[in-house]
Amino acid sequence: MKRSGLAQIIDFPKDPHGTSNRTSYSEDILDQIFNDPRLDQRIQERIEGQLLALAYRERLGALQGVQDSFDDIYLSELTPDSFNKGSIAKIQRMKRIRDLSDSIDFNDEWEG
Amino acid sequence: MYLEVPDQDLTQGDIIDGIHLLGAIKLGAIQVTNNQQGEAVSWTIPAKPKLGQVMVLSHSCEIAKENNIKLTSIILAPIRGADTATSKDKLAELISSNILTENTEASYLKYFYIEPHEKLSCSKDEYGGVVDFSKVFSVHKSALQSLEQNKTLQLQSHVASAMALKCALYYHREAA
Repeated sequence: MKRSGLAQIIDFPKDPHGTSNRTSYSEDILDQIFNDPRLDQRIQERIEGQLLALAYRERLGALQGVQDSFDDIYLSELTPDSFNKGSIAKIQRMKRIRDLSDSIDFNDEWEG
Repeated sequence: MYLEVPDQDLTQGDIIDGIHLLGAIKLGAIQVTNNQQGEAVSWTIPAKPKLGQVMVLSHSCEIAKENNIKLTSIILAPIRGADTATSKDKLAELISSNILTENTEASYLKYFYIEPHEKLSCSKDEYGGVVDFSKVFSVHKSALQSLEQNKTLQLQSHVASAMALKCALYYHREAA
């Protein structure tokens, strides 16, 4: 302990294993807080949530403000699609193909 | 079946990685939140999000950058692992009738088979996957750039055309 005028300076232990009661008490409290499994779970959930949100923003594009999912369509600015009459005739001929889709199943998370 | 080097632009038949799969949503599970005036302001689904690979079904012309005016949304379909087929015989039949011709008499119109590839996440045991036309969903056009960034594989143009034909016939088939 040093004295400088009216002030009293207390040396703070630099050694992390110091024996100051004050440091030990603080460490005990911190240990109790950080070793609480509920805190672990809460932190983990928040980090996972933030990472997931970040991943979505990066992968799917962040929405700026509120957007209507169904944007206006300006019909006057559209031009009709050209189509191949041969393709339509082909589809008409092939629509007689028998569909067997109902006879196969895929046992994954989409079912049930 | 796949281009060795995919283009950068998004085209019909592209396979995109890491997409939130939204098809076949259970409408009854949607939870709506109301504000103090009783107006519905948001909704959530209490289910774990599923990320996976999808195929772009939108016509290439519609999602081309030069035709931006046409783009209102991008149609996607989930890819399911062919290894989960409950009948391997039926799967073999699906694969053999996958590409439709004028002589095809029967096929599995709901599904388009895609061959295994190291970048195809469902390629377990070299079975490949199937695009399920019955579980399509769309995403807002603002996702175009991120879809391009996550583009993983691209079908050869004649295969993409065969996929689109099968998709058209799935919706246009004659009633049984």
